[in-house]
Amino acid sequence: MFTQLFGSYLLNKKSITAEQLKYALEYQKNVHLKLGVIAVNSGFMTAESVNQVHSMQCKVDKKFGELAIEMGFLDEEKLNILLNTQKSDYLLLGQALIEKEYMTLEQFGEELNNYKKDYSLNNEKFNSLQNENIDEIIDIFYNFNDSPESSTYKSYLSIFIKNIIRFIDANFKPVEIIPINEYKLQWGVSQEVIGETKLYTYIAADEKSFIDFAGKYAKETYTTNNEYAQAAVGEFLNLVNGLYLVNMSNNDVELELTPQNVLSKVNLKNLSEGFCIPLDFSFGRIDIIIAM
Amino acid sequence: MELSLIKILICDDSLLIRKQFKDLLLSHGCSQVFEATDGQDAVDKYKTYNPNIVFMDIVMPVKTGIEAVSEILEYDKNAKIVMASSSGTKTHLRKSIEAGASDFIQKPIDESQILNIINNLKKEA
Repeated sequence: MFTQLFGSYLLNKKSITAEQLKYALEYQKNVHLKLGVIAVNSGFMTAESVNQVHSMQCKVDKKFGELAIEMGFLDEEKLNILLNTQKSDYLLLGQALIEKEYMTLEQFGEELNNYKKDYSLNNEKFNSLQNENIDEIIDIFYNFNDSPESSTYKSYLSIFIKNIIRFIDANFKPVEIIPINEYKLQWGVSQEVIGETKLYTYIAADEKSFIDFAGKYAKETYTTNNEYAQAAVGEFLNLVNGLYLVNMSNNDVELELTPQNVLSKVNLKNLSEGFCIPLDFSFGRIDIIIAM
Repeated sequence: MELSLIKILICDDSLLIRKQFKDLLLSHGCSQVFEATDGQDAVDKYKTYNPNIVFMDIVMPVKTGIEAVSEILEYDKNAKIVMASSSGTKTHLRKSIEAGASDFIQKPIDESQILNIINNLKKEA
């Protein structure tokens, strides 16, 4: 998820084009993470010192880490930390952008620093993002326009996204959320959370994306929008909402659910504190709608 | 008791969940699997088929799973009912136990969990 967000950030800043991002995301699947990229990311080395080591590598047949220690840029401990750094998708994206010559290592380092500044990220928070800490990612990227329901929505969305990653597809692109009062729904399912707090929840999409989403969850191939496909999307929403209820129950707030409904071609109106949270998948866009 | 002789009632308003349950059970040798789509339907089907075990959802139209458990146990105090719900809240757990359910499983359904329950039933019977 963070890779997609960082990619969108570069796109929004016009540092790369949509076409370049698409190629880089494809390309990153086939590249191996280089130590120099991790070193810049960790702050142990500057892009300049990495380039110096690279230049030296052209002259002597030694590994990057070995040379970096000899040249005084790293010590054994730091090298071990770098070597132990887990495979990181967004760094692979960075490396892909560099290898495709869409940006230089210096520019990548600069973009990372800008990113941290723009989102006021200290190292601890940035590490959480890199480790795909979903709660942290949602906290930083979804502010719900400072809605009074922001904390409820964030905890709900966290459960939603975790289950999207678990059951549907981890490679989706989160899109800017939209405050809404009305929503023109093509195909969707709805369910209400009732009790101390009331929450209206929907999953909505065009018909093709709705069918594909259903197929992903049910691990079936649906070609038509049949009862099984509709039940699958409904069951996914029910699963998320059930887990939300369990979560709230653990905090001593007892809530209930209504049975889920399938909706088609309706205009949702008077959505109080309503938000549309679009997620772009390879098969299409799914909108999560929440309102009070 | 042979698995093929065990009668199982799946009660869930989701067509997908009923299918997943049924496919799983049939593929492991069960052959008498019945379906109910809401709480009232569960009570009616229980009376018709007298199943050895019921898997019961909680949030359903017409009548909730917990109401259905109470009614089924009034009819047959030895009924074995396992709640299968995505919302295992403290209230749902407490109400399920009070109503007389013998177990509670959290959805999405876990294949090994279901098979364990069925195999234990096979040994008991």
